[in-house]
Amino acid sequence: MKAEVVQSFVTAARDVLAQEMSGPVEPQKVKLQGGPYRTQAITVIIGLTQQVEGAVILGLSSETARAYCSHIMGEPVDELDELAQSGIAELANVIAGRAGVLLGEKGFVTAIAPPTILLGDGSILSTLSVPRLMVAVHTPCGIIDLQLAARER
Amino acid sequence: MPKFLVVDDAAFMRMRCVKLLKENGYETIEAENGAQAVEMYQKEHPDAVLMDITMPEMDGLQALGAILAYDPNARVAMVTALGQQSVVLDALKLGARDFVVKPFQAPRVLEAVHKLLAPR
Repeated sequence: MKAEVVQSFVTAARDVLAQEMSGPVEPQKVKLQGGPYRTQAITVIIGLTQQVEGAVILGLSSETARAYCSHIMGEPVDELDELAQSGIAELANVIAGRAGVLLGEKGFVTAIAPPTILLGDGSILSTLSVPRLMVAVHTPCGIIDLQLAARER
Repeated sequence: MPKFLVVDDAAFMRMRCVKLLKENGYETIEAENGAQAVEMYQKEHPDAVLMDITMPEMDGLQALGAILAYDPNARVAMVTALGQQSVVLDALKLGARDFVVKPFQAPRVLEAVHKLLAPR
């Protein structure tokens, strides 16, 4: 996968999360992940098509998801109910949307599918033959696991 | 008290928007897709609409067209993720008066609200 494709997602995540969390956001080094993906407490998958195809995956622990929702709502969120899930899905959607713009500026026309949410730790997801890159993004609400399983067409 | 119709399929986004509007003294009603938005607009006659673009059943552009066909003076601002800028241009050509880019930023939403309510 080209570095500029990966960088578009990392930049989008950094910018959106910094705006949403009103604090410092530090993406760590990009790593190649082998083996299947293991879901976190809340995992959002967004499909990508056209010139970049595959999926972007956002994984959050229950603590991080609740901290984010509490920050946005201005009150403690103790349960990841449908409203909170909708918030995490929308966060992933906005990150993917911004990445789509950055990719477009670099000549990669990319369409973003609506988000799918998986609940519960430890389920196995296979991206088959598509290599997966992972970036742990450190935020004021906790670590967000951004993974990109995609290739250029 | 001006009444806003907030349209978004994401409940969390509707909640954020409604909370902000209520804190600033506005009345709100909500719809979770374009079809419901058109129905509510015709029934409730809100002063203005904040409309998401990507939604199931009827998307924001179709709903914008239907609302403007019913009320050519409707005051509608589109709310969008950045990935949809070309769609925003289509919306502005159709008659949307403003657009707000996600992620949600309260000052920008309020700016759009004031623009929508300003006399033309």
